[in-house]
Amino acid sequence: MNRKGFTLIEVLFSIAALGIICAVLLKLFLLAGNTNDRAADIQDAQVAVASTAETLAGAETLEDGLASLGLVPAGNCPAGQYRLIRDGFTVVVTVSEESGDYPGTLYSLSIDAEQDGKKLARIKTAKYDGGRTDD
Amino acid sequence: MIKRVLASQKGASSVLVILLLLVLVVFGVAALTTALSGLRLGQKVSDWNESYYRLEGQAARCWAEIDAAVSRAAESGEPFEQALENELKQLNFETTLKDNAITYEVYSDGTRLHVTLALDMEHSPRLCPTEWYQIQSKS
Repeated sequence: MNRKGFTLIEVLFSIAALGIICAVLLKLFLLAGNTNDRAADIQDAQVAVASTAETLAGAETLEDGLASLGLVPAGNCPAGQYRLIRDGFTVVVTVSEESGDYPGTLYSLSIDAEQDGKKLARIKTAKYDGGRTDD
Repeated sequence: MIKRVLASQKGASSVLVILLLLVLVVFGVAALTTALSGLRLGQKVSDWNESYYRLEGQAARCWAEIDAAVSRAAESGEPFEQALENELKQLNFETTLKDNAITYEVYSDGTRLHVTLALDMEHSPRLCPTEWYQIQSKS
């Protein structure tokens, strides 16, 4: 019977070498997974922010847009900060009135998507509500 | 000599393990490269979105300026079209007044947004957007 084999040192060295290589490989796969998750989060946050912006832009007035998002202004003026949950993100809509001698009202909008306190996407735009309702 | 080496089964398991590790390394690098490309694409889409909505905001500000010009022209007491042409000339961006429609364009980062506002004269001058589209310039 052939009783040739590996010595303990040889076996230990091979296990250690394989362990080191596997650890590096595992780290590589984990890094790829984390990067993928981050990319998916950024893209989803963009969708949440863009769909919020489209809802506000597509509405007749800013008040209507906010109402269709389920947001109610505190007073007569829609300026202020609103928070809503959309697609798992906290979407922060900041509305401020821009000064100027316009017949309607010009609002500047800043829409941010946050997750776990981290800002993932931001859109800055403006909406003009033509103020003439005399027709 | 080569025949003898190939016929021998010594070290065959080591060769298999090394090959397996090589395949795993290739898969790992491919996964990381794909993930990084996804991240870069996500950031690019984010930049495009940001500039798209910035341009929309710019167009909305121009709309407000034109609305103010229309309002001033209506209240001036002069013939409306002449007064409007004069008011539009004073704006800090180019506009075209033709067939009761005002056209203007805004630019940012190689993209331009074309807007046409129709003048509704039925009751009092009122602007309604009829064309609102972006044109991406070739890069």
